[in-house]
Amino acid sequence: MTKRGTDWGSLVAGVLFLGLAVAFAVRGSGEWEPNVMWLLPVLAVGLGVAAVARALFRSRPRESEELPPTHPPSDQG
Amino acid sequence: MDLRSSMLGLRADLATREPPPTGPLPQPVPAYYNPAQPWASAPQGPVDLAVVSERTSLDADDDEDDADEDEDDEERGKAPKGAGHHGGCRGDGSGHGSKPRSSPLASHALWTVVAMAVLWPVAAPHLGPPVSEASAAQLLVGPELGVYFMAAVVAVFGLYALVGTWVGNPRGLMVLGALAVLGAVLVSSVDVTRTRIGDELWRPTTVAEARSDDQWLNVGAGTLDLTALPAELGPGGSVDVAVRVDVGSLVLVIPEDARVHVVSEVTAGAIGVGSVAPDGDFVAGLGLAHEETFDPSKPVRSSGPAEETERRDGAGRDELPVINVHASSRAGTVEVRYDQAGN
Repeated sequence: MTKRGTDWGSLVAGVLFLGLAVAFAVRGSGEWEPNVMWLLPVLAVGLGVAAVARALFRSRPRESEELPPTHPPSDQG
Repeated sequence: MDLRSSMLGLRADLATREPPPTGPLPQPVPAYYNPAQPWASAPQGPVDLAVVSERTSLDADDDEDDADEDEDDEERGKAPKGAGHHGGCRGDGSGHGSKPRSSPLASHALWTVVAMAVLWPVAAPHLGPPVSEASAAQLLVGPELGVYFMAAVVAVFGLYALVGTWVGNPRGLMVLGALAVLGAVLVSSVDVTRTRIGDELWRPTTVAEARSDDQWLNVGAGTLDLTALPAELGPGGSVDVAVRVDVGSLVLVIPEDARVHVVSEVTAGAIGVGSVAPDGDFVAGLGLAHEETFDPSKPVRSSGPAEETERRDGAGRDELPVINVHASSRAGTVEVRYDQAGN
């Protein structure tokens, strides 16, 4: 398991969810009252960034970066 | 072999002799073809599924390729097999076979949330006000305290996602976290504990009851029976009544001895217009608003000598009780009837 690369998308998602949880808790205590509807676009954009981060930085094992297999040409005739 | 003489006599040889036998035709080589790789295309020869399945199961003892006899064939055959071997065994950290599966963090996070949902209402009564006075439903999803629990659920998913950056299998955490955020938004915007679902019949018998703001449903079939009101109102009395069914059908049963002025608003649905059901049509659409006044179809009964005196003096003008009804629905129908059972 130590060979597994870091999943950056998961990191972004984790930070996003923690930030949203803090926003909800602060909103619950009444000190700061943002319109709750603003949190939905934040969630959507954040998840998009996380998905992009996961796709962009998905670490692959380096030694298998070869060309895809091509089928051998037929030998008849 | 004398090349020169062979060439000179070639034409004669071709005319007379049998051609030399060709070697054995090469057997079709089972080629590696993994349909999951989007760049791969099926080889022209037959695809031996046994070869494909063995390659993808990380079998090191792979010697299916005994059909090659040429050097060239072997080299060509080995190159795709080598690359295919790597491509077949590459997974997203959770391969099958000899590699152990990473622990599913989404499942752990869900169990954590379940444990929280059970333990928090159990522990809350010991913690003092305000959490000790709330019911379990209010603690979890109520309007004031529920938002803290939902925020904690979102934080749990966030923490597991942070851990999932380095260890474990974080697939599915984003979806669950998004659902948790949507749940938190819902809990903090509407009062989930006060949702009314079901069928309900309101029959106000006093003017105060009719005026109350309590006649509403979120989902269901509501019936508002106003037939008891004219006796309460007396001639000339009026009352404003409001009724609402967010999703569902709303039936207004109106008395036949009062003037009823109905204002209907339906965001998406239908309103019965024209006259009392079952006559009349339904107008369906979005953003409907309709006003209609239903005059009594039978004469108002006078209830005592005082009214008779008034009527004699006042040039015979009838004083009708007037009921103003405001009926609204978000998605549903509004219908006016004289009879509850439906005529």
